[in-house]
Amino acid sequence: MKDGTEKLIGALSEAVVPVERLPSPAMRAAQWLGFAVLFVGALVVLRGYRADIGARLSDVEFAIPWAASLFVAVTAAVAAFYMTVPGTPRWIVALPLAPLAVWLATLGAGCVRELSEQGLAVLGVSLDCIEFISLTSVPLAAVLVWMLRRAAPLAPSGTFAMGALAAAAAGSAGLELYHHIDTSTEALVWHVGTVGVVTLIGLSSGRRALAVASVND
Amino acid sequence: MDSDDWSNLLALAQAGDAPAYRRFLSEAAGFLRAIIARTGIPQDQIEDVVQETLISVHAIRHTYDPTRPVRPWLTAIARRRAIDWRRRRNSARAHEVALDDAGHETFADPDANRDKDKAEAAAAIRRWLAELPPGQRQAVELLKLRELSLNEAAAVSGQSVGALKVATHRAMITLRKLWKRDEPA
Repeated sequence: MKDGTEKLIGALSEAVVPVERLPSPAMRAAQWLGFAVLFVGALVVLRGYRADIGARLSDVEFAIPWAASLFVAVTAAVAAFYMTVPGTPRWIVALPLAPLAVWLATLGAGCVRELSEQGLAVLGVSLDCIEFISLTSVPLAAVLVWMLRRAAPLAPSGTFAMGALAAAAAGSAGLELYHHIDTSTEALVWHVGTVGVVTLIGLSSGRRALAVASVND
Repeated sequence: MDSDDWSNLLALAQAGDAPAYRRFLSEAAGFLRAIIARTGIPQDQIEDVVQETLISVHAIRHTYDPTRPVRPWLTAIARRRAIDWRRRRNSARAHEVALDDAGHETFADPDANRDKDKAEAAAAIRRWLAELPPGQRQAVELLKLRELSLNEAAAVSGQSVGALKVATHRAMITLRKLWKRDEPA
């Protein structure tokens, strides 16, 4: 059997050609985030900023969860790219946990207060949110998959779920800039809920989405 | 050999240096053998998984960053190949039926002869594969039986990806003809 390995080593070293080294995961994450800012920004400009955006951003009840959703997008994208480099320490998958906890906790606290004051009447149906987050997630995730496939996603499901979380959180952060939703309850149900569904779809389809990458054929 | 030397050798390999690459793979193979043995792969299968790991190392050598240590990079790839080996074995076991002493006998009920049919089909496929031209046989063996990726199979066989695709397509046509030829009337 070791003869076979020796033959294989001979064949591989004879077949070696120069390869272009992959840029660092941080650099690739920055490239994708740059694309995400341009893409989501263009959609927000096309649909029009909400008129009271200045006032909303100075309101901590809006600004903290919004900034947290932005950090979820950034940290999840960084984690997804690091996960495609073999040997990356496992703690990298925990990067988005802190901003995710802040996002859920701040919206959750507001939601509890609103429900205790106004009851279920506070929750309207907002199909716009689902449409915007889903529509932004698909092209953002498609570009991400294309970039991740150039590397080595050894754990395709987890990697794609992380990427889907980044894409959906970026969509949600963009949505907040134009959409008139003022209650934490609606933001929690429609925004975080859609982000969760998109992430689960990523988890279940990751193997297929990244299957043609060189290590997972 | 310390990790820095391996890093340098792999960095040279990324630039296309064949002797450095051969030295790196030869020395890394021993390290991989030890890692794979620790994952609980049976002794007689370790070398297969080492070879699959080396093929993966070749296919994704562009992902190695020479400023990072090389051993965790190699270890992660080897562990992944060991997991895949176990997954394939479990999946194969789910489709296999152990033969006992009476397993080769044939029964009046056609359903009872499924094991015998499977064995005959496997023998026929082996016979047809032997009749394929060498290029087509190699393509089927690498892509369909060993389940390598096109890039990995290209690296091992020295054929281009395009040539492998054509060879596989032709092999399938030939196999279909052989199957029709031998099909019982």
